[in-house]
Amino acid sequence: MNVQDTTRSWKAKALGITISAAVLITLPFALEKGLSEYYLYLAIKIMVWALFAMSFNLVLGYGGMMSFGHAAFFGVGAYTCSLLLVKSSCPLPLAFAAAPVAAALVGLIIGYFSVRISGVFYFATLTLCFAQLLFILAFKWRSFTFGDDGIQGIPVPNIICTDISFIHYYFFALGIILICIYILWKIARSPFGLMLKSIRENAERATFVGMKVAHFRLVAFVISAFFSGIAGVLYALLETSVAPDLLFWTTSGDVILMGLLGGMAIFLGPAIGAAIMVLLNSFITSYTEYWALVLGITLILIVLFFPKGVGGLAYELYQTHIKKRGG
Amino acid sequence: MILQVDKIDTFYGVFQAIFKVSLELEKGEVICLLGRNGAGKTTTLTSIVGLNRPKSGTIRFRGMEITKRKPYQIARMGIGFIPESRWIFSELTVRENLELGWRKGGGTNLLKQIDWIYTLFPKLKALEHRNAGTLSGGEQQMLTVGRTLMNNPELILLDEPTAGLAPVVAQVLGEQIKGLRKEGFTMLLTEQNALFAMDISDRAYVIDKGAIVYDGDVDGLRKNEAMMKEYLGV
Repeated sequence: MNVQDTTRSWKAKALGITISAAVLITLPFALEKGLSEYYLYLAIKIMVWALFAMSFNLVLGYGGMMSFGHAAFFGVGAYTCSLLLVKSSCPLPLAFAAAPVAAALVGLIIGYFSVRISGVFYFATLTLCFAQLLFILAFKWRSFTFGDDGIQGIPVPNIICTDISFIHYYFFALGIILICIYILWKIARSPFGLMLKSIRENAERATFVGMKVAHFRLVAFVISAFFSGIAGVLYALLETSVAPDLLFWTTSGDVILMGLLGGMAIFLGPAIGAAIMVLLNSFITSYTEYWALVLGITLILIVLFFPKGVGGLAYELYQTHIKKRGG
Repeated sequence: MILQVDKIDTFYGVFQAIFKVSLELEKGEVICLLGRNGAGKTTTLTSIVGLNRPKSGTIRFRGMEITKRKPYQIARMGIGFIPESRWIFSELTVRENLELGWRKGGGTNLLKQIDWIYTLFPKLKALEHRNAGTLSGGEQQMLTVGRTLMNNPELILLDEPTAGLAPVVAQVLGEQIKGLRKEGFTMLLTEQNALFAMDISDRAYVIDKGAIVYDGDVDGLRKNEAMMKEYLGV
């Protein structure tokens, strides 16, 4: 790459960042004032699920570990923060900080037992079992978790309260999510990310390069649990309520589908998948009671015809365009 | 003595693949382990690197017993293994494959190490941004050798490095392996191409039906026509 190309590349990057920043800053005003606050709520929901899906992708897309229990970390994050706020009147920053730590600790315990097992099926089953165990705990331990009623009316400080407007909460969530995504990006691009990719491709070969495969898998699992926990907190504060459903296996299924839809090979792929899932879910339900059927068919079509996901397809088209322009 | 393999027996289930195999390797030495297909050459190497754990016998590296150590620990101690099946990471680029071989804290600089590999294998430099899966067989084998060297191993085990390659490519790779010898690397090499292996080795072992049947210098083996014919088909 010569100096002219480098300058052009920097200019393109700067332009991309400026446009993205402008869109992200004006989006909440355009949505809330131009359409309705429901659309802004949807935008925040997409962002939260995008963070969850991207955290999960560190485990599946980069590490090749098919976790079927990631709902556990999302749910533990949401429940930890909510319980601290409701039961102990703990200040929000403290409750917020405790939640991902709790999720990471749960990730450490689940991961410790799961990453040693070879075979996708056994790994998926074990993670699913652990997550279901936590679901049962949240569902049955009524005196502590409020059982199937969930926790309602989580006290949220006025500065990010969503009673009147979602705009403050949007910027609060956006700031945290962007920081998390940046960290995830750095991890994915680091030597650690490279090692994870090599383990995904062939764990045995990675061993002969000198990698302690189980150790790297566990670290990835815990990091993923940590960020999933943050997504869980943001979800709880957005909804001001949590329910045991967050820990149910369908939540784990949703995040897997988001990865498949958006494309796991592309860093932002799962975020695209999250947007598709949330939008399909929200709009189809308003048209038909058979929304699950429509959603299912759409998912099958996308997975069949775009095996690399929508993000993967977009990336391939972009690459083709670049090649054509290059001659 | 850098490597000392003492009377190891390795099994695949109930099938015993090697019987009381012993071999020794001094620092800076290049030895070859020769034998026909299925004689036990690869099993001997995979036993050393921890892939197939021997049921009895001991393996020592730099005086430390490694018989029961895990493959990643053995790799970290400084034994590089280059298998016949070209263990590259096909979804990663050539450069990323090389980076994976480097270990922080090994006393080397990543960029300098990569540059050194590119001087040993200039072809890899031209291919550095290509996905490893798109390389030819010979290029993949070069990459496997290059990645192993990234960690500056004290001992390199090469399992039939030229197998399955076109003669011209095998010749080029052979020259590069000779170059490694000149660089002073300690190597244990298995080959079906006995003449090539003997050409670059100080000593030779011949293995047949899982047992060592010859242990001595290369010239001695060359002169032993009966053994060359019976065990090596030369």
